[in-house]
Amino acid sequence: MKISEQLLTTPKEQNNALFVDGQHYTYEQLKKAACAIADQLGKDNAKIGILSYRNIEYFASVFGCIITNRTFIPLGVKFPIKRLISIIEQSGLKHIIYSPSYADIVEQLIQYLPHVTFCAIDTAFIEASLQMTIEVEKLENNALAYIMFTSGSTGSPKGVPISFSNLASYSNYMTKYLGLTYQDKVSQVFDPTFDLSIHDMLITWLSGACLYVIPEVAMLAPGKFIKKHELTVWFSVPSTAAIMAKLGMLKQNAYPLLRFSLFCGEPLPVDLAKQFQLAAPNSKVINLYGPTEATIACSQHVFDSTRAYAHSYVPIGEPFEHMTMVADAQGELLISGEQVFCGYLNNKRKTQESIKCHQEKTYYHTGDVVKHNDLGELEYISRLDDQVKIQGYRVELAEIDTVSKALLNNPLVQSIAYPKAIPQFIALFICGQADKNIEQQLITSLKSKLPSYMIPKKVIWLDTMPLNSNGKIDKLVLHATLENI
Amino acid sequence: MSLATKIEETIYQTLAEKHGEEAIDNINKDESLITAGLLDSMDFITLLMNIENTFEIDIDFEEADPVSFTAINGLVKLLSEKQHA
Repeated sequence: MKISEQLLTTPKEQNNALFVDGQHYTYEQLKKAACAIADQLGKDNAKIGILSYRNIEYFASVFGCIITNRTFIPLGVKFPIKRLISIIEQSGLKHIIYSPSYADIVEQLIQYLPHVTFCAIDTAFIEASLQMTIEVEKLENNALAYIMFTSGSTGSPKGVPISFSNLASYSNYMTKYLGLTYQDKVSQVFDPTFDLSIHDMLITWLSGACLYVIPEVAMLAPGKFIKKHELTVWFSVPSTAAIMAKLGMLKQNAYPLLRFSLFCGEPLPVDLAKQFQLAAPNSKVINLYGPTEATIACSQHVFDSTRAYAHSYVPIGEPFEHMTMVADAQGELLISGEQVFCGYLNNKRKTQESIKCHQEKTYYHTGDVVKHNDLGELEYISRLDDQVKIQGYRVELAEIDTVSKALLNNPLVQSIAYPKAIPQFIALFICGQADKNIEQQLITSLKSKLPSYMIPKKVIWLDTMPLNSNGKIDKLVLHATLENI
Repeated sequence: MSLATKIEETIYQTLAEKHGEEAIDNINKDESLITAGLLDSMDFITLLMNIENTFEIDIDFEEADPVSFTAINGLVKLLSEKQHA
């Protein structure tokens, strides 16, 4: 059965599907709002851009796209205009739905994109739609479920198209594995531009459970929200759990109702997993791993607090039963199986670089270096390239460098992520005479091109750039320099 | 100078470093700094760590309300109470 059909056969229409901005919506209401939105969309183009942020309009729009077999593309409301334009042009978007709170972004976009139709969906529209029953037609023959854009080393974001068949492969496995019911209350913390947000929506709604959207300001202290709303499933990046630990929110048995504590997006420290397990003693703590290119996640490890782990990070574990993961001679992790995408959007060169043959089989080459431990589980070791994760977001340091070099007209520029153990920020080293004006201009220009998590927190000027014996910039020295400041 | 005043100064200093001296004159002390877009969550955590180290306060926000403790008045109140407790 297609995902669109699975979503429409939810058992009880009067059960709650969503809690957002202080209000509950039942499955019947979510469906009505979704159909009313889908009814606004033309049939000439299957791709729909969604410019809203974790509000009822956003969730109903995604629901509407999925049940009518449309392709949705989340547009980051915090992204700079230039990045949004690049995403819209690359994907050939003709229809964009937006919440009126982002009308100022639309005003700017219209000037550059005269051929795109913008359709405002406000709360009044949603309220009215709850009183109507609209039959919507599904699009036939549209294969793509969504396109996510990630940081690209050449200076512009690259599109990762995921098909309905990739997605069904993930959701069929995950819904069965977790076995959630209509009684489960699931956290929603991920940004729409992060593919883990698709897990939140899809797995919750396919199981008939209720999704609880944690407001942005409550994200600093989610403990109170978990208790108040009696959540049973938690899913975040490990950085969020680290903040909770730091602020005294992981006390013993703090969250006895949690059944699952899921983590993904960056390495999970064993100590943190232990702390979370203590705070949520009745939950299965699961470390998920997977690149966007292989649809949300493709391997898992169930944490066991009684076990002595050899490394400081929890293993990324074993591939899902329908996926294959192997390491080549260099240790690079290669993935094949139904969840692997077909290639980057309009980017043959990048596709050929990453989808290649290995021992007569085609694999997606992740760029992650892994090794098998004594138990045969995969452990994440490092990256082959310059990619880092900042609070779970993929960042190609080369993208920051390419853009900075062009702006400064200076080839001796190098960004690094710090602190080394769990990177949270970017520092930019520039070779040359320190100049506060140039520095400010650079940061202002970077802000107009890159998302906020890619903007350097520190700029350091150096008289000479340290080089290693190969003549490359010596990042170890840069890390040491940073620590001594 | 009382602890509360010192903490408040530290907060203003952080905000001035990020946004410039002029920007800090008109801050609503009861509005969340995050909602106001003055700090993101990582900035806020960094600020908390600074305050914790400088004034040797142990932070425990288990029961605190994030809407109020991310505002200047709320944060100062919470932290200076912790010190006396």
